Amino acid sequence: MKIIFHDKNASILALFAALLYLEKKQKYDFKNIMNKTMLKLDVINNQQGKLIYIGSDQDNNTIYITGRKRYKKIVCRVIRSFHKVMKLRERPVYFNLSPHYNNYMRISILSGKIKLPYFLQYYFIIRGIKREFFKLDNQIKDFKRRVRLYNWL
Amino acid sequence: MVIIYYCYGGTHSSVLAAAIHTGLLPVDKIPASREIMALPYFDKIPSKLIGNLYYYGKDKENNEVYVLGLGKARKISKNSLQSIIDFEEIDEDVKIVNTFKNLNLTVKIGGYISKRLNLVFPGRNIVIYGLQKTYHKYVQMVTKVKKKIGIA
Repeated sequence: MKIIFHDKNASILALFAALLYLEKKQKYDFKNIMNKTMLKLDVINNQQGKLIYIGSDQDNNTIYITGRKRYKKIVCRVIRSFHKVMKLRERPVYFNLSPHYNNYMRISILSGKIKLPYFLQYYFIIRGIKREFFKLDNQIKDFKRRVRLYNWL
Repeated sequence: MVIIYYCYGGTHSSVLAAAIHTGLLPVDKIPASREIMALPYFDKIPSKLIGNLYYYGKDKENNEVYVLGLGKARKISKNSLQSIIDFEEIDEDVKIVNTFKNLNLTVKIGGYISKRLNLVFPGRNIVIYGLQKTYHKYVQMVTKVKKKIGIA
């Protein structure tokens, strides 16, 4: 399966969620992930919609993140129907991160738009992720269980 | 090979291009209004279903032709498709063709009247008039595509 974590901008939150899914993430270990992946996020922010490969899990499902602006339904439909038409082996499964946005993350995005220094953007996004951590962690565990069940079936 | 023609709603210009490609419409003359009106999917796909691929038929070489509407998510969806194509390495099995570039103002206005304002009868006729005006451009575009994939 192709597991796609998507939100409006392919933010650090999407990446964080993908790494949580892959269990590559220690609790609150944010510095490493940001240093490693900022370049990728820069690339995707210039090309919204592009899928970024993050890794594969133990069942060989591939994990991607993408930013799809406000067009969740259209982009998901396009990807799904394209997979059907091309008879691709891996079916796409989506995890929407938009419900996990809180005010800290919104401030971070806003500060990026008005070009405030990077450290402020990071500060707010990390505060936001820390706040959302347990809820997100639980949902991803649940999601993972469902993916495994689906694989098994 | 799979050929995908896409436009805004996936119901006017992409359908016309797909019809020319599959041979439902002639390449040497401008078709009559009723011929265009009778095309499958013409002005029939609702806006809610934008993003789905619709099978249109096969050409002489048995290539499958599909139509697709991308709405306002044109660039984003195109990027997604392109990255899937790159990951799966199916570059030679798919051809994605943009039919936006042949749209004229008449077709846009007609599409808006038909789809947004739900005034189907006048909207559809305006769209058909607009498509007939630029029909030769669609024929040229399809011929180019066919040349590229080695049919014509």
